[in-house]
Amino acid sequence: MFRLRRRDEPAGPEPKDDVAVNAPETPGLDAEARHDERLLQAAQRGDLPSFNALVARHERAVYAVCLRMLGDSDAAEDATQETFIKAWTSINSFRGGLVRPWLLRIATNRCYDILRARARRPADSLDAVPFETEPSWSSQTPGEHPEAFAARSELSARLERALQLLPDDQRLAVILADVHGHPYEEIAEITGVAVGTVKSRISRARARLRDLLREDPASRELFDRFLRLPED
Amino acid sequence: MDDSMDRRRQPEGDGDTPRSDISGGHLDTETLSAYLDDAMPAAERTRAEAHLAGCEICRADLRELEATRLLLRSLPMPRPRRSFQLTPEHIRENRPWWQRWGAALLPQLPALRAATVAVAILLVAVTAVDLVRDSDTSQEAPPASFATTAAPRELHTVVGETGGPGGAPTETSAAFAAPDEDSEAMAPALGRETTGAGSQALDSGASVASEPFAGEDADTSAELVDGEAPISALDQTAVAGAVETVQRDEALVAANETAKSTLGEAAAEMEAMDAVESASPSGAMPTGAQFEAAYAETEEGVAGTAEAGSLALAQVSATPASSGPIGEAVTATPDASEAHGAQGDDGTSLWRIAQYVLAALLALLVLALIGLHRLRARGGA
Repeated sequence: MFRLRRRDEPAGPEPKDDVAVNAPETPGLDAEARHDERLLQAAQRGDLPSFNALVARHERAVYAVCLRMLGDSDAAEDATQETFIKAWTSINSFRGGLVRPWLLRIATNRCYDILRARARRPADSLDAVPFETEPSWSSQTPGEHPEAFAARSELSARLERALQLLPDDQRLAVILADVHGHPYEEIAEITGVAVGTVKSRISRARARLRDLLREDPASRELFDRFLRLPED
Repeated sequence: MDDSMDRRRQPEGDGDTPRSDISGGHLDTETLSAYLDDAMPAAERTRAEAHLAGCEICRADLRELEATRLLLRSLPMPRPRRSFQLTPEHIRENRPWWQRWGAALLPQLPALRAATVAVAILLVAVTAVDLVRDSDTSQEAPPASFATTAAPRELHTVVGETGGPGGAPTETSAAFAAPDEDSEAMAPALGRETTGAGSQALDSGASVASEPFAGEDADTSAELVDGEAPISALDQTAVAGAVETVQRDEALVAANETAKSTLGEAAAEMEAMDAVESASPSGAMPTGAQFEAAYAETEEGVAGTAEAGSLALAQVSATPASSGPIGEAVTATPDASEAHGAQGDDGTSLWRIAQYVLAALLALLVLALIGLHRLRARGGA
């Protein structure tokens, strides 16, 4: 009933549910990457519509990273807008490759700046709105077991809160790896640390999240139920 | 599912090295996590698989981690409430002009580098040629002689003939004739005087060939005095105190700078005067003092306008260029006075101009390169 799944394996039952929304860069997206590159080259020549096409293609991912890093949507919107402005002004610093990691690198730098500023002024962090769990985010995958969906929705909400309890570096690594599906090498590039560090942060983050999900009895019960659920 | 799983804890600290070895019989969290992501060498993976096959605890642990990853993967992608597309306002607000220019220039960086190197080499070459020519003439130059004969390149500086109310009748006229290279050594005094006079907007005599003053100031009309007595004594002291070639060059440059500043503002004329004085403290001291006295009187007549100043300067330079545009004449000033030392040597002034232009160009290019490199570094951060 339980089997190990490799990352590059075609999605089994697990990523099937919401992957369409998560849309990680997969090897099949070479044409997409090339399209990105063409748009970016046009933007480097000063073509704003091409750049805005890039914005449309990546804004959701950038916003999602900012939101989970910063924890409130107002700050995340500001950070996302600043990311794209910065990307436009430093568009000539793009040296080929994938566009999304480049954008996410700018975004995470911005998020770290904001988090550092918050740390310097603790009054702000008290005002910070706790991460909103918008029910509209979660959607039931067609064919998903109703009980599984219920457990997953509840666990998702708890997981979002648990994410906010992680150290920033671990949170960023696990968001990029598991929520957005970036390979280790890309995360190393985005965050500017060695692959070994990325690996270590991801494993710590997963272990800590697992512990947090099993911390209180109610949550633990849900998690165990989720584990026992049939995979199909 | 089993409480015994919780006993497996990673050591604290954010270590960079993966702890993938099997310690204490069980797989640690990082190994399990890497195994989950298939991010480990094949040999290690085989070992981990062998352990997992026989260890229920590690299998359960792995399963929990995988469930956590599954939950993370299925987290929904939040939908932003608005679009983040850039409007022209975003760009205008957030991009200063120099960044836009820099971004446009950035692709041309290699060409700009090549141009800088080329200009630098050219400047060195031109300077070398000029130095060689310079040393040729100065070797032959005998002690200064004071020629009063009229020559095609003679220069007359008439000071004080302003006819202003209560104007002192002092006539400080200098007539320098340079029939041959002999008078090279007296060029320094000449250079200071002429430029100083020009920057003060003093009335100056036109050379024989140059046009009249175009009615700029009727009172201060040009007068031709060919090496008359009143000035000769003065000039003798100036020449006697003349410094060596190197100092001459410095004085010329300083005088040229001050003369240029006159173009901008009439008020700067006094400063230019001071600068000229300080540039030649020894020989030209009496001249400077006299200039100052004369200037005080002339000021009313000339109304101290910068225009008059630059025009006068153009006259003073008294070279063929003096009939050309003001700017041109001003640039030519130091060369013009030097040209008296080497009569008929038009090449000298051209070499000198070329040096100035190349040096200015080089400075601009270097500044542009520094700016572009900084811009690129900022963008890459």
